[in-house]
Amino acid sequence: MNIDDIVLAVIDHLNEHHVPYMIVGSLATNVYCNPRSTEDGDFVVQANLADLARNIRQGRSDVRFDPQMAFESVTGTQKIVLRIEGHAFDVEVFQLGNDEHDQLRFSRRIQVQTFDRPVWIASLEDMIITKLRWSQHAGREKDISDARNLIAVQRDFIDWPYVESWCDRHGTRELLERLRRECAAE
Amino acid sequence: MDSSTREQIERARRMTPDERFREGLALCDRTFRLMQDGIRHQFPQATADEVVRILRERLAIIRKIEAK
Repeated sequence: MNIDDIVLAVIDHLNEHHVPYMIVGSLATNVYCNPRSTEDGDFVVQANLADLARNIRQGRSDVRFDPQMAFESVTGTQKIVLRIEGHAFDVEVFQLGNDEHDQLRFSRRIQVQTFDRPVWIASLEDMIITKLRWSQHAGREKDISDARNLIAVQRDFIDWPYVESWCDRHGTRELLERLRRECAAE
Repeated sequence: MDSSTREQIERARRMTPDERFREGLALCDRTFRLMQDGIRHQFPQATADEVVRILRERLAIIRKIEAK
């Protein structure tokens, strides 16, 4: 089984069961800029995770998941980890939390057509805002690198006032301006 | 900006979202296959399940390093 089979199996399940969702993290980043490899796939859903885990387990005979409940420490949201038998690529499914920006970015998600099916993805602006916020919380260099990549490729298409307002609220405006300067210099 | 970076940015701009998404997944697949090949080379007796287990351990180490 390839990794695209795993990701598409999750997408198809959510589409078929009308579960509101969006892809976030590096898989979503790839929609907007230079693609890179990632160790797992991240989804956000507006659904009960226990029910979703049960449905996924019952729903497909060709793909076997091992849903495990876990708690995401940075955002405080619940998640399930979908482990595919015989494969090391995990899919993490986060429950939509009450955080104001998380709620707004879910409402602003966009639909793209890929692999001949509709797929919901976090918006470009919300990807940048979230990457900068995570870089602050988790201190991961790859989040900054992803944000820089997003800005470099898409800078003419970004709703800057929206990004600036959230970065002001998250305390990441200085970092945003630094990345903008770096990309402008490039 | 070096010419390689500029070229990468221009290439990404020329691609459609569908093409970028597909290429990202293909890169993941290639990375996982390379890591599995490396494990099999290092541990020729390892079963398929053991290869996956070792790969999971290595991915966990990568995540720890990235989080530092």
